[in-house]
Amino acid sequence: MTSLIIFLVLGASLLLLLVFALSRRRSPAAGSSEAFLDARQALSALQNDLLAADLVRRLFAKDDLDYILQFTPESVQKLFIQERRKVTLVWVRQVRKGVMSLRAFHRGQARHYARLRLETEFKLAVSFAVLLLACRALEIALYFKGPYAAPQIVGRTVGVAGRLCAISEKSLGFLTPGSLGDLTRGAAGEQAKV
Amino acid sequence: MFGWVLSLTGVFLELLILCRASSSGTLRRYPLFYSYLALVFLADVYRDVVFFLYGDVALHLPVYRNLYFATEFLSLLVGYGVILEVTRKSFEPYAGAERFSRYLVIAIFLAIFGYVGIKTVASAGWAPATSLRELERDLRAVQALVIAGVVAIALYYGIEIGRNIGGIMLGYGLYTASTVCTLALRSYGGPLALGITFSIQRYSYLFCLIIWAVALWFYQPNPVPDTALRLEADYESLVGRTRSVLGSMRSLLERSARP
Repeated sequence: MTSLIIFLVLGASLLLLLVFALSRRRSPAAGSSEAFLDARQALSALQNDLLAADLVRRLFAKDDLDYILQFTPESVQKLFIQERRKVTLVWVRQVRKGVMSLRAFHRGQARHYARLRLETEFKLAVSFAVLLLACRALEIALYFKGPYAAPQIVGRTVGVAGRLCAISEKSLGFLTPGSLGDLTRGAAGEQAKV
Repeated sequence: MFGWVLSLTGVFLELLILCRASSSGTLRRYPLFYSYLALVFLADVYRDVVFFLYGDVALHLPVYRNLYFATEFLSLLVGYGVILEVTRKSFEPYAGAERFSRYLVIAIFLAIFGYVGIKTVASAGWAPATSLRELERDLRAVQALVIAGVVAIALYYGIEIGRNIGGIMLGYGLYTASTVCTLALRSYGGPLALGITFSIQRYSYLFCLIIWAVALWFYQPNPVPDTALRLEADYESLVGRTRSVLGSMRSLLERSARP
């Protein structure tokens, strides 16, 4: 009976996979400047803004909460928690979006590499999946239990995201923001002289 | 009577796809697939002729049974060739994904046949399959795993698959999935399940033939990734973005320069 179930599940899974593959939309061309720039922007946003230690510490720090709880009426306390929840939810969604953009970029690039390493690919795929799951779990925890519900998940998410950013940075190394910055600075200077 | 209509419809569709192959130009592009279809076509014609001559008695004739199983296993083996042909053609422009799929297919084969080998050695009384039907079911299950692996890789790397190859893969995948389920039910359900599963398999094969007929009516090359071809467009896009940044900076400077 167990093997009957295994065979039926296998057949049904293949059917579902084929239907899913058929219904999937075409992904944007990998390797286009848009994909590069999106990935670069996502990486920059993650490293410099969203995963910045100060910001994360400040977002989830209990100092503000303690102060509000101590010195303000209940209505203000409620409003504070609601607002903080909204802000942390926006933060976690932005992190998730950035990670998805990096993953899409990585896949688009990796598929062309003849010397692709299976071990690395598996590890990366697992890391991306874990991170996205952690983001989702964090989102649910923040939504239902408030901004101070899951400090461990926050720490772990930030840690994994930081490591993935370091790997992605190597892939995106040739498209440094400095080069674009120099270009805009030069042109702006020229305009200022005029 | 209705069974005959279904059977003849299948043979007609097979013949139609085979006849269309040379004029559409798909024959020389997918030789293994058409070899597979030609083999199935010949086997179906033979079975239908024997059935027409002997009726249900044919099922018990050794000549019929032996040839039935021989053609089933031959088509199954050529089916593996079809999967390899489709995989090679879909992943041709993607060196990384092609490498991944090759190793995955090898890993699936090694894992499953290794497991069967160890089991056989470990228990003297254990056989990989107690009947030819069960052996076919097991081999089809391996085939289903390989197809699922290839489809999963294509999905993971966002590889676009063309109409012809997509059609072959979809049709063969659907047929394999339904065969795995029906053979499993037949092994456990006994004679009761035989009639229902036979009908399911027949309808799914007809559906698969319709998919192949539609997908292979015209030759359509597999999409080539346009990364290299888009270099010019990429540059234009980059310049466009830089210009827009410059434009906004200019307007800011102009505004601030005004008294």
